[in-house]
Amino acid sequence: MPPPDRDDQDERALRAIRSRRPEGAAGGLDPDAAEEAQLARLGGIVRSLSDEDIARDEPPPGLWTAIAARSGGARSGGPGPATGPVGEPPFESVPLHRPRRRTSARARVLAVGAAAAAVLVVVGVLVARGDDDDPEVVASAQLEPLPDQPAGDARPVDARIVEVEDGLQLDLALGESGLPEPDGFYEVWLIDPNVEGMVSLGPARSDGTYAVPPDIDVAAFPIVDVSVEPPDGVPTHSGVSVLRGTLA
Amino acid sequence: MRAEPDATHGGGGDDDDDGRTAADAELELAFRAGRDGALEAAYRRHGRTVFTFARRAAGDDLAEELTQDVFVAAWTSASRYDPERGALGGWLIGICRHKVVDALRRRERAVARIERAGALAEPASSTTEVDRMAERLAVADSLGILRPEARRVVELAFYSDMTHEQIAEATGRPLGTVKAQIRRSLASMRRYLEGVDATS
Repeated sequence: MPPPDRDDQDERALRAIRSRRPEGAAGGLDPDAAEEAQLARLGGIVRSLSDEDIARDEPPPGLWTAIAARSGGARSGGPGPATGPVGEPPFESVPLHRPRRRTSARARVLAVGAAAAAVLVVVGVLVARGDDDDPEVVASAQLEPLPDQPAGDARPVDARIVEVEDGLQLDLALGESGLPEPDGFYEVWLIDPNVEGMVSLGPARSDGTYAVPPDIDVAAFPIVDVSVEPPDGVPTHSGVSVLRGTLA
Repeated sequence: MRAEPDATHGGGGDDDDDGRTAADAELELAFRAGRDGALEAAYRRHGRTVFTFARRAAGDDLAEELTQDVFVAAWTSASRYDPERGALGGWLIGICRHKVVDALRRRERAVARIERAGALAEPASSTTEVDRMAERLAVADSLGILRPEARRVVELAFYSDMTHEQIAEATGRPLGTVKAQIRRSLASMRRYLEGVDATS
């Protein structure tokens, strides 16, 4: 059993990485506050990560040789590979959830679902468009329950892309859909029209807001999809979608 | 069929409080001691990130030279690297940040002199942008060493509003494991950031 103060620390850390305190609100001399400020900074960085931050460029093969020559005593460790020492990528280039694009066998399953959804959503689009009290609505869709999915009795629910201070945000009040408690959790995705690429906007949130990664063109990922993610720790789309609609 | 990701990635060292893999811990000590082969090992491990940073921040024409400068400077002052103060990968990114900012200033002056601006291939221009890029690359690398199953837990920690208990339930992992994975991941990320900061 960890001591109770460790549990407290865990709780505080979780709160800190999720807090959206303004930049530079550092904690002064109080070590706890300073630590929380550092965690908040970390949370902000993680949430700002895009594909480009994860991708790495390959240095030219001669670069190591030049460094070895300039640093004098550096050993090359015998005859290395002709292409230079940069072998396997030291890091696995997989972002957390954003933006995560997947093309896999599972895309076929999704494609079937998308075709079915296309029929269902025609009526749903444009519904929220005329909302005068929300002038920043960029696009909207009505998400319809998909047939043959575990949440059969769910109700249609509106989704809107709105402009917020630091970019675009998806508003989606999943609570209004009457979805049952999932085995695992629900996750929100934007998917391209060919159902080849997708971006996770993250697990369902009770506040109903999902930040759209800054490098994502919503027009290129117009399908809003809600999946059930089973408790298996696999970060890719489960292939089981419960709600879907197309932004217009 | 779900393809379960290979869980062997990331090596051992699950109980390390600072989230380092054993291989990284060893490399850091070897580098500090200036041991034979440590520079090349550091380049193999971190060269791509340094090169990527230099290229994106300062442009193609300076990327190679800056990457060389970073590793030569780091090796020259290897004894000043202190693993207690942060990750080697972060430290190298921090050195690169200084080199990039210096190079951009030199170029700015040169450009001002000939009254020509904007003709270069859109490298990041301001110091703030360079700092942000350094932070993002460092955190991305620190996430890269997470095992896939830990990555899911960490994702929920950052992006959802679930409690530890709910994350445990959602991922089918014991509460203690979830807490330990989050703790370890945060430690690893903070160590990277501290490495970047240790050069300022």
